[in-house]
Order: sequence, then structure tokens, then C-alpha cells
Amino acid sequence: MERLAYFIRRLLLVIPTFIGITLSTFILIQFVPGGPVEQAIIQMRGLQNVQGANASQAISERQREAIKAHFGFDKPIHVRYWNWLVHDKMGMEVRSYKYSNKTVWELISERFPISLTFGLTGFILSYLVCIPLGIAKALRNGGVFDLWSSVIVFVGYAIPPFAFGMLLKLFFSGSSTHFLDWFPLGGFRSDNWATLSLWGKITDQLHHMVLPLLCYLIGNFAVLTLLMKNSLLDQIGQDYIRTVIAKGGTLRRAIWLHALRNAMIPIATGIGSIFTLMFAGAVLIERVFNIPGMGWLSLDAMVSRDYMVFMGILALTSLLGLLGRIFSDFCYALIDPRITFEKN
Amino acid sequence: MFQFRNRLLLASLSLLTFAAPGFLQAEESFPPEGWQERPDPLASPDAMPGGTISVYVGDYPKSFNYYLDNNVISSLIFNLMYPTLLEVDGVSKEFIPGICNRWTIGDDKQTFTFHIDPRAKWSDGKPMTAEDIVWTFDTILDDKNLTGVHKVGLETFERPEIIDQSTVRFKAKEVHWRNLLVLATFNVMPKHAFAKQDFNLINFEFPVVGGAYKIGELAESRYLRMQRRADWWGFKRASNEGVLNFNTIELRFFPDREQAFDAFNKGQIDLFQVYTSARWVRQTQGEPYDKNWIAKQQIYNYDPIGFQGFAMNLRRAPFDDVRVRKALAHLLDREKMNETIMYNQYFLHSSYFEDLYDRTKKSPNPQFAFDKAKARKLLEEAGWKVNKQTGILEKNGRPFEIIFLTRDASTDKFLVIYQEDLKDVGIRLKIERKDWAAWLKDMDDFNFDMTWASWGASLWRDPEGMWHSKEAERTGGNNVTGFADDRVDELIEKQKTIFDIEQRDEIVREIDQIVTSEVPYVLLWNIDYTRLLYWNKFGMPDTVLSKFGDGNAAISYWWYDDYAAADLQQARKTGRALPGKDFQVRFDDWYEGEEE
Repeated sequence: MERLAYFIRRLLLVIPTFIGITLSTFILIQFVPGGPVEQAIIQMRGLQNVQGANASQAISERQREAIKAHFGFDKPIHVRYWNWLVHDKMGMEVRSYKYSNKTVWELISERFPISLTFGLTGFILSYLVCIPLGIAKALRNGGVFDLWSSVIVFVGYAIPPFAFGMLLKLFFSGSSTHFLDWFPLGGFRSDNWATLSLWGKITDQLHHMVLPLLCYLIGNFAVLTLLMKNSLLDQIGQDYIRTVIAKGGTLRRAIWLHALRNAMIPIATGIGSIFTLMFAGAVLIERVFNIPGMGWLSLDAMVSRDYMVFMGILALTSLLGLLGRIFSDFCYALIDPRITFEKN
Repeated sequence: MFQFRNRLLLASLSLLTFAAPGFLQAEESFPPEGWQERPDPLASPDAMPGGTISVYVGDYPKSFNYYLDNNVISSLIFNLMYPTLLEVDGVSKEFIPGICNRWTIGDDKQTFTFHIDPRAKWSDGKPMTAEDIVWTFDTILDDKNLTGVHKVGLETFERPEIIDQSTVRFKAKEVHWRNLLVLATFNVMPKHAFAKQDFNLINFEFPVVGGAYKIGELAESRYLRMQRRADWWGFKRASNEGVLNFNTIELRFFPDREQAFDAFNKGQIDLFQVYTSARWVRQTQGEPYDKNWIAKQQIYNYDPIGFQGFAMNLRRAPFDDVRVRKALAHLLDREKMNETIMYNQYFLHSSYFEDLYDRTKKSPNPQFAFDKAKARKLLEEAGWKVNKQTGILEKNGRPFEIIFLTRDASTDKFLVIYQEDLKDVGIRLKIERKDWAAWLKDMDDFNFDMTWASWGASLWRDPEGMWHSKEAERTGGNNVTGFADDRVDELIEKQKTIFDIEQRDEIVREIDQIVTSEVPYVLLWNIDYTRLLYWNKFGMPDTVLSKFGDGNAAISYWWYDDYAAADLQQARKTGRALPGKDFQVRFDDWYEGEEE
């Protein structure tokens, strides 16, 4: 009961926290130069083209005012925030400034499945690989296997994923005739995706996913593997494991039946991040491989000052982040019944 | 090799010259009697319709509606879909029929009457009418539509008058040579297709078009395929023989040029223009280049050349002193930069209108050569003295410090060299990097000392926006340096009513010489040729590109050559080399003009 009350309290706290995050960001971005009004002016003056024949003529004050009114910048900030939050449903119904034929929600819902595909596959693969690897390393602690796998894992950790991506592209995607041409240069799917058979679609999708997925995984491996290994080693050293062995149980039995469950607790704390991980995408990896996912959209929104998209992504990621933390605590409590949320 | 064309068409602009004030003649009609439409002299008779060309154009634009998004890509797409009232001859720059096959200019030089070609139809079969023209005009000038600078040109006219369904009359508010240009290059959209829509939301869907191409397949942020309309009425015109040949023009979008270049090397893009010398010199090697599967050519034509330089804010000290500005120009070691950073690929500017000069008319402007002694002398004359303790120049107790406002990290390598040379004479240069929007805000507020500015050029030189003193204090204008000179103002006013390009050019040369002597910019360098890479499977005119066009002229003049494409495919399969092409192609070597 006390747990239920705790989680209800946590859920209720999400509302003011969410308003705090979005309101402060909303106010902050008013002071950053280059909002939609300035963007529209740049666009109209043709200033983004160095070589435009009609490039750069002046915009009159009347036109400036018309642009302001068009983007709602003629209203006071609290009205705008209220409109954003309530009338436009967290800005989801507003049109993107850059992709002007789409609403923020349309854009996000288009990009989300792409990031979800990579995020979820990466997440599952990293848990599938890292947990057994961590266990194997713990069981062979200090051995040759442990040493070599550590070297590989740390080298992977040291390489920034986007740099790794660029190397992979250079070596395996045929952009240079000196190397191999095994994988596509990027993109989520081939241009002729719609015309492919089911099997063709599956292979095409996998073909496009191999290199970016390797980049997604490379950084996560070290943290998760070592977390698993150290957590398990920690548990193996505990009294209760010695008790199991003293009572005639094998080390294997002690680990699989007792230590593993406890060793999973630190791993479970990261599980809440699956919410944001799937949503946020990996900005630089998506950029390197030209994958039109959430990461790219976020970067695009920031660079081109597409505030409505930026705010929309922020609102959703904050919400998911807040809920993810509650979910982590929930998993935590589920794994370890000793955990209570009572005040001492 | 040479193509000739009887040139019966007299320059519409030149003709106006003869109508000197006080000797006004009656309304003039164009084209003149006896004029006959001829094929484009640059189009090859071998051109065949068909095939696809895939071109990298840049990042995905915010709109394909050029009236809403004033950028080169949208302009390219929009012009393929929506024709203009008149067209421009690719060799002589004269106006030739577009949507309108006849036009008259009143004796007041302010009234322009256009007659729509009776064959002109929209893609849904409806005729193009005067109402379409007036509706497009009204739409652009409507305050609630975000059509920006397109308003500026049209605002100089009264609302056009519909004479009948195929005739429309414009009246300009003042006499100016630019008026006819504005009207001639005015793209018309169909009223019946768009009148009920919010114009600000017409971005990617254009169900009814009037040009040679319509939107085919669009994959957002990746590519746009434009489909040729075989039934386009314009193909009945002789001037369109041998041009606009590709069945599909695929425009590829990439967020950065590096990715696009990778895709080009892999064969996913057919045509790629190179803008950096490092790529041109060092990254165009390997099998496809060595075996001529990819052609690499430098095309010298008459593509207008803009200028770039370090713009100085003449509104504030010490840049209000011409001696200081001259000194700053003498302290920039352009030769060294060109040699060490740019593989000697560029020429050094000595003019703000480089196109005005050629072998026959050489620029009289001085080159500000790198000369520290001269710079020191000029600075001393201007009252700047070295503080022996700090080594910094000072005047009235104020140290000489320049804040260089930049928005691009790639400029740093040049600025560092400049910084060192300035330091040597006692000037401190601080680099302040901002992003586009923040940079623009500072520029609009005139809050800068010095910045890097690159300007494009037009076929028609118009010095007003950048050099007239009335533009100097206008927020968001082009006179960023705040340049003001009475004589230049006078010359700008004078050229407005001159319709002869040669005469105007003479005036612009005088303006150029005054401006150059006043040094509002530390002039940099530029390139006078187009660097082109393409997979060797296309047919093209001997001149490769048009007279005034950049690499995008390929879209109009090239064609897909089945034999060349098969040959390329075979060569790639077997590893065989293809015959090489000329590395340098000069327009004048292949086109010597036209016979009367």
C-alpha cells in the first residue's frame, strides 16, 4: 500500500516537473537569436544562398511585423505558452517551421518508428550480449578470456560512435574504391523498398542496419558488460553465496539461483532509460548514416531553430524520462523486495 | 562545332536606348516584325529525350515554392514547373517569348503590355489567362503571404490591368531599366488551382503546373524526381528543341556535401559540382577518375562572378578612415593563402564587378598587394602609433583592436594568417564565431567591425542595393559596410533610366573604380570556372554548359546517351578505361558567335 502511495505521489509530481522544464525552456528560447521570425527573414532574403541571383534584398518593417504575427510572436509570452500547452496540445498540432507541410506530431510519429527500430534492436542486442558476457567474465575473472575481452570492450568504449561510423562507412560501404562495398552508404531503407518482396524487405532492412547498429552498440558494451561483471563479482563475495557453497551447493548453482538476481539490480536501474533511448535516437550516428530518425530531427530542429519541433521533442522526452525513472524504481522494487519507500 | 543562328531579334533592352528623352516614339512592339523563333544556338541537334540524371543540389529546402523560400534549389524546381512571362536568350541575354509571345512597351517607358501565347496551357488543359498573372501578382503582394523580397520588385508597379483574357497591362511607378526584367522573370501560377488555398502552405504539392516538368516522386529529405511532360505546349516552340531532354531529373538532398560526395563516388549521383580546391585537387583520384568513368572538367564560361571580402563597418572608427582600410588591405597576404591553402586555384579580386572586365577591357583598379611597409606608413599617416610597451598601435590612448565576426569554422585557417600579419604591425584581431542567426542579428544591428561576406552576382548588374547611401542605414539591407559616396549615388540614379546594357556597364565601371579606391572591403579571391564531376554517360553540347550557367545548366542541355551509358557499364565491369575528355573547356573556343 505504501508502495502504491509512493508511486502515485511520484506520478503526480510529474506534472509540475514537466511544466517547470517546458516553461523554463520556452522562456529561454525567446532570448536566443534566430527564432522563426529571423529564420523566415533569412529565407525570404535568400541569404542562405551565397550565389543566389536574387540574393539578399531588404525586408520592410511592415513585412517584418507580418512575419511576427504569422508565427504568433505578436502575443505576450504567457499567452503563447498557454496556447502551446493547451490549444496546440504540447505544440503537437503546430506546423513545423522547416517541414512546413507537417505538424510536429506528424513529423515525430514518422521519425519515431525509425529510431525505435534502431533503439530497440540496439537495446536488446546489448543486453543479450553484455549480460552473458559480463557473467562469463565474472566466472573467468583474471583469466585470459577476461583480459582479452576487456581489451576489446575498452577499445570499443574509447572510440566515439560517430567516428567509428565514419570508419565503417569508409571501409565497408564503397565510397572509396580502395575498400569494400558490402553495405549501403546510409539511409533507413533502399529507394525501391516499396517494390521489394517480403524477404527482400527483410534483407534490405538488415543490410541498412548492420553498420549503424554496430555504432549504437560499441559504446554501450563496456559499461553494461563491466557493470554486470562487477556486480556479479560483488555478489559472489557475499556471505550468502559462501553459505550456499558451505551447505554443499555448487558455485554454479549459487550464481544462477541466488547471485544473479541480486546482481541484476544495478542493471535494472538503466532499464528506465529504454523509454528515452528509443525516443531520442542517436544524433551523430543518425547524421553519419543519413538515417531520418529522432536524433536527426532533434539536431535539425536545433540547427534550423525549428522551435516547435524542438519543444515537441523536449516535451515528449521529458515526459518519457520522468516516467522512465518511475519505471526503473518499479523494476528495482520488483527485483529486490527489501527496498521500501518509507521515510525513516 | 559551331552553331549559327540568324539574329533577327533585336535586343529589347537595347532598342529602348534609341528612344532618347525628347525623341519619344510611339509604343514599341516586341518581338519586331519578321522575327522568327530559332532553336537555342547552344542546344545540340544530337540531343534525344529520355533517361534520368541525378544531381546533388544541397540540403532539403523548407519549401519548393520559390516565392516562400528564396533559395537556389527552390528556384531550380519552381522554374521547371512555372514558366515566366518572357524568357532570356541563352547567348545574347535578350528577352524572347515565354508565356507571352508579344509584348509592348509604352512611350512613357513605364507601361508594359503582355499578350499571352494562345497555345499556353496549364497541365490540366486549362488556358493560361491574364487572371492567372494578376492573381499571382496580388498573391505575392498580399501582406499576409510570406513572399518577402519578391514583393520588393513588384511593389514598383500599380496593380496590373486585365485588358482581355489573354492581355494584361502593367504600369511602373517610375522609369527604371529593371522594370522589364522584373516582369519578364515573373513566374506565373494557376489561379484555379491555388486561389482557395492558404498560399503560405503551398510548399510541396503542385498539382497543376505550366512548365516542362511536374513533381513525380518525392522522398522527403532524400530526393525529388521531376517528370518531363511530353505534352508540354512549350515543346512546340523552336527555342525548346534539344533542351530539357531528361525524362526524369532526380534532385538529391543531403545534409552535408561530404555525404553527397560519397554517394557520387558510389554512383548514386551522376553530377557533382565541386566548390573546394582541396577536394578538386586531392579527392578526385582513384580508379573511376583514372579510367575516365568519371569525367573531371573545368568549364570557363560567362557565369556571373560575385565577390567576396572582409566587409568593414565604415560607420565606426577606425574603419571610417580610408587610410586604415587601405592598410588593412595591404596586410592580407592573399598570394600566400591561395598558394598554401587553396592550391593556387583562385584569382585575386581587384574589382567588385569582375564581369565588367575581360581581355579587351582590363581593370584599371589597383591590386592591394601584400605590403607591410606601405601598411605601416598608411597607419602612421592616420595617426596610429606603436605603444613601445605593448607593441600595439594606439591612437588617442585607444589600442587598435578588431573583432572579426565569423559564422564558419572553415574561415579560421585564413584568419589565423591574417591575425599574425596584423599582430606584426601592432593590430590585435579577435575572432568571434557565431551561428547564422546570431551573426545576422549582429549584422542587422550594425554591431560588427569586420566580417567575411560573399556575394553572388546577377546577369544584370544593379549597384543600387549595395552601394547607394540611402541603403547604408537600412536594417537587413545589402549595404552592410555603410558605404556612402555622393558621386556613386549620382551615378546610380543616372543608370536607372538607361536601357542599354553597354552604357550602363560604363557607368558601373566608374562606380566600381570609386568603390575600389574607397576600400569598403578587403577584397579576397574568387573562381572564374565551374568544377564539374560526372559519370561519363551523357551527351552534351561542345560547350558543356551554357554561356551564363553553372553546373545546373546540364539539366537543360545534356541528354542521356544510351551508348555512352552502356559503354560505361561495360568498362566498369571489365575494368577498361574510357577515352578522356578535355580537362579545360572554354566557351569561347567552341562558340564564336552568330551570323547575321
